[in-house]
Amino acid sequence: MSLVEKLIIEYSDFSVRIEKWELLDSGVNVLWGPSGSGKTSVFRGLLGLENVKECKWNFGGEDLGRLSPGQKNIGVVFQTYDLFPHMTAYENIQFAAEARKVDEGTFQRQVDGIAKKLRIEHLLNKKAPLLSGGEQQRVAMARAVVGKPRMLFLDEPFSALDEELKQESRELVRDFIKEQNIPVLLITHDKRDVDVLGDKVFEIKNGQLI
Amino acid sequence: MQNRNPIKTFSQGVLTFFLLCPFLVLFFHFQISTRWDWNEFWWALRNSIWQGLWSALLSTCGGMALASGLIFCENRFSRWVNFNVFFLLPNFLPNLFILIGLMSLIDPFPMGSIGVVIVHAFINFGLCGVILKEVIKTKLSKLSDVAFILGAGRLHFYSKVLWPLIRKDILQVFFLVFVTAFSSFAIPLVVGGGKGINLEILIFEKMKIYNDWSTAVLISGIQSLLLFAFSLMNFNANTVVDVNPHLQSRFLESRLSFYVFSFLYLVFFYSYFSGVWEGISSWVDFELYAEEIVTGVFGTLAISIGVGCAIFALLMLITRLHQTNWFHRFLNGYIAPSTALVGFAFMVVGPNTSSFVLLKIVLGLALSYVIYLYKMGYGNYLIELGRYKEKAELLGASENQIFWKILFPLTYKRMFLYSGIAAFWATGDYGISKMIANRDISLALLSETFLSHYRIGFSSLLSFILLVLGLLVFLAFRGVQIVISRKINY
Repeated sequence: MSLVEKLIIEYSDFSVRIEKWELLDSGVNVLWGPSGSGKTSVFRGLLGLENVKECKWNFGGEDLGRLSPGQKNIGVVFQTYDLFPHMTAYENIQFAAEARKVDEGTFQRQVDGIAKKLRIEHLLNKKAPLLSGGEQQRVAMARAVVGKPRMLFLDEPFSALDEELKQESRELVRDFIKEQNIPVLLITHDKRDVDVLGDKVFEIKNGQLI
Repeated sequence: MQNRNPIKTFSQGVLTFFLLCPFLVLFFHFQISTRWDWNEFWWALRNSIWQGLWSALLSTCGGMALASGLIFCENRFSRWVNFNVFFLLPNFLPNLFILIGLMSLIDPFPMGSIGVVIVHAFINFGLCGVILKEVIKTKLSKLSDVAFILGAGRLHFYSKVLWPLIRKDILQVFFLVFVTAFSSFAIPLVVGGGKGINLEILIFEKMKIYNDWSTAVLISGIQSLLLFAFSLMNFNANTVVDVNPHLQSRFLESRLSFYVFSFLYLVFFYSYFSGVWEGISSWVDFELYAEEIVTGVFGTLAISIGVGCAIFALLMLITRLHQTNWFHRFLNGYIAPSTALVGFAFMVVGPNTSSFVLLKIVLGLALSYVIYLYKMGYGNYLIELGRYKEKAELLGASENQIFWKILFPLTYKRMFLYSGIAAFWATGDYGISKMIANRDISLALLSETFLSHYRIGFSSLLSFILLVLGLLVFLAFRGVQIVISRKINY
């Protein structure tokens, strides 16, 4: 278990207030709630992109709340994937590996394995804007997990995909994260994501866990 | 097939002719110079390029630093103050104020090309900063968060993400300043001195001092061709990525840069107002120059109000005629002639009696400003209004109905705003005015004369009066707009 304490974010017209929150340190934690409930704020707060000075996050004996986003070593897949548009898929993954100081040999071994599992080998030399939504999502996933982050955050990762692709993608992601053995925090408003992926579900409403 | 309206076609022709008249005058006066001096030409061309390149380099580097400062202050203070406006002031205020402020601040001021570069850089820091900040916000804010979370260092982010993604935009900003500085007239006229003569000043000297029109026309022709060639350059800087609503951009913001630039600008304004105060203490000079000052005030008001009215009329005409693609393409692609060329064109056309000189200055300034204002947003606004026009056409409305019932009510506020801005700029003009007028007929010309003689205090005081006059004329245009708003109730 990892324990989050005093995750408090104040906006002028809205606030997020989570006093204590226990997250699984294996499997998929799902933060589920309707639009405007504060999911993205929680996500940004945990990553350290919002000002949460008092927040403590005990993860394996280390307080992640005191670390900068880069030091936290968390892999993230954003809703819009946000691949670097001037880079190829390979360069996007390589950038993350360089940032996490993964040596060249390890990176080569990892990238081959990840690309195969995510079925993106044939896409590696394509520029990011030329990839379809589903392909971008898989590359973003590869970029997030390269270098073995301590946790993986997925922010509505299927919302930009069409219905047909969503189900296939959910299954691929489920199998992939199970194999990678990285704990996940999935943020979603879609009940089907919860059904397919969730090991533990937390519901959020008006900025509070219920 | 749309019916041709002869009055409309004629009006479009007249407006096109007006905008092209400096080039036409240049064409008809063109002749081979018998006094052509290659050394002099290369010297001026070298100075133009040198001043352009260094001004662009300093402005772009400063602008990049300021952009990070602006991102910092947007993250922290945007709810209270819009700092963009503050940093854009040097670009918005007439050059005269900037020259006076900088000459009060840096004493002795380095006359020559270095001085020209300093003034250009100071004027353009804000513009470059605001443009680059917008580029960064649009293209990089989200990606900087991604890189930050991935654990990338600042240098890694700058070299692998920032530079590859915005280098074309940086080049575009660099080039914008380069072209402006390359064809600058008003600034080298005051601070260029003998060593900083660029092509514009050379044209001016050939005309005004040596009466060597054939050489002036030839240089002007070459300069226009160079400007045309520059305008063909395209950097394709148009990749747009989603804007991050939660702009944090820790890699992109800089507290230090914000404070350094704020300090620099505050020191500048302090120096300017110190100069004004010094001018007030030499009050006795007012009596000595009372006649010139009174004439100057009237001249300034006539030019300023005249330019405001001319711009209003031109914008109205453009709005009325903005119904064909070729006309919009022409206005968008039109390259504004240089100050020297406009001055030259209006100097040689028509008589040079006092009232005609005033009229020619008004037309020259209106010609210089109208395209700038059109490209600054008015043109795009007219395109946006096209959908209303289209609906009205489908309903069977006539062109007159479309203009008076739809386009005019939707555009008149902007027309008044732009006219007020143009009138404000016109109060501080001494470039085109100096080319056309034979004596100091406005306060700006008088102030420039004092400035050239290092009487900065008195020049500052005159420029302050100009500032007040400019604001009053601007407010007068706003006042008329409010009255019309009440009348037409829109």
